[in-house]
Amino acid sequence: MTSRPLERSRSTAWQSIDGELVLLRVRARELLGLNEVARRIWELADGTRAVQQIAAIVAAEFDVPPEVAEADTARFVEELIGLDALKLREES
Amino acid sequence: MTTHDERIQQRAFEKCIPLSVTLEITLRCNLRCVHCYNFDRELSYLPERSREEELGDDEIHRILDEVRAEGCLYLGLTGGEALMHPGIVDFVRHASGTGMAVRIKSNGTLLRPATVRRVAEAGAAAIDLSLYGSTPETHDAFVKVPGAWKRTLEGARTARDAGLAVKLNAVVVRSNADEVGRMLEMASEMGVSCNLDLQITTRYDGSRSSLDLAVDRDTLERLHRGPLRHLVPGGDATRKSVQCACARSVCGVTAFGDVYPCIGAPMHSGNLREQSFHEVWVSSPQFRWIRDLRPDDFPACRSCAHMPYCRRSSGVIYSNTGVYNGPEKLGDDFICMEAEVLHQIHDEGHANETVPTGFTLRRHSQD
Repeated sequence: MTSRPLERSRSTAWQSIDGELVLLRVRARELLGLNEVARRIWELADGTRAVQQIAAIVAAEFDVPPEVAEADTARFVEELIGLDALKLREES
Repeated sequence: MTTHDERIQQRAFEKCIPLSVTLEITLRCNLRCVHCYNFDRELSYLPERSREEELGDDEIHRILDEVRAEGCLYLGLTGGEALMHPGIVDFVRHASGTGMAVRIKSNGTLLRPATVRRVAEAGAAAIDLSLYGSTPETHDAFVKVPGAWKRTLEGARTARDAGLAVKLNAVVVRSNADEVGRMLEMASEMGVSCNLDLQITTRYDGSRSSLDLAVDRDTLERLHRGPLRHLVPGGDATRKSVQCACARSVCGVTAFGDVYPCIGAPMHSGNLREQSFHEVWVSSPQFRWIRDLRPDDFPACRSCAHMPYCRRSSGVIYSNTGVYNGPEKLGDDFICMEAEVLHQIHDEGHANETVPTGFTLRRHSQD
């Protein structure tokens, strides 16, 4: 996975509703609910961190082995990139 | 089966989260639609107000942040004609950047390719366009600007081709009632969705002549036996709630910063030049009163035999009768007549609960 920071795509709206973070894929009109770890990854993908940095924070905050956090984070990020919800930030 | 969207909507309703906010960014418009709820467009502007009193760009940006922080997911930018505001692209970019799904409500005449490209790149999700007829003669007479029909449909195609979700809002009135079927076909041929709106309201300026445009009972019956026959509801005999989403999961903000339970319910509940959106949303006496309403607080509706067929909107009722939990007596509003007609047709056995195409009837407070 690249070291470029991840950022959220404008094609996906999102909101925390009564404690649940939901993503709205606006063109597909599809709502997705995120669990606690997924929510944290979404929050951290703010255009300043690469996937490895996000995985390291997830490992620390949720007390999971780094290699597990890295694999799970990478898999989830790939999924969101496939949905056009996340994207790699353009290099300036 | 309950969808995720329905669960979210229900949770927002129960917890009073303003999931859907409509913000008027200007009352200026390049058309003069005869039914306009802002003000009688024969006048130059809303009486006793001036264009200079409209929210400034900085105020609009602040309001976008405030509604977002309070829980907004679905943001509607409307007017007047929203695309006449020079800041529209910046507002869309700001709102979508915070995570809101932005829908622009427009007459479509200003949707030139360059404009469409700019709002799409800024993150607009959808555009709702108003349609008042299947022919240029009918539509242009309604909006009082020659050539508008052609430009609106060109705008719709341009927006569709740019990947925006386009919806035609067909307002059904006496002058175009015979064109409903063709308007639905046009939307289908264009590959866009279509919303039908038969409920006309009074105006912010208090004038009521717009109500004369609504279809009469015979026409309503003819429509529901004809092109709208598939929309006759089955009749949910268990339905008990008459409360809509106003002030619970829906809210409206006018071009002057006034806060309404929804943009179609002109009940002044605070002003965002004097208070934050959070203060109004949480503390407005009007909002708290609405949230405390119970089924028994709608006495006429509670005893109405047509309730299972009713598309009651408190905003429309309030606009037209002045009584939010009205009508004071059955039959005071178009909605009552519509429910009676739907009930009658259903009982005659003409109902078909399946909606075979992509069009819907609009319930004002849940747009």
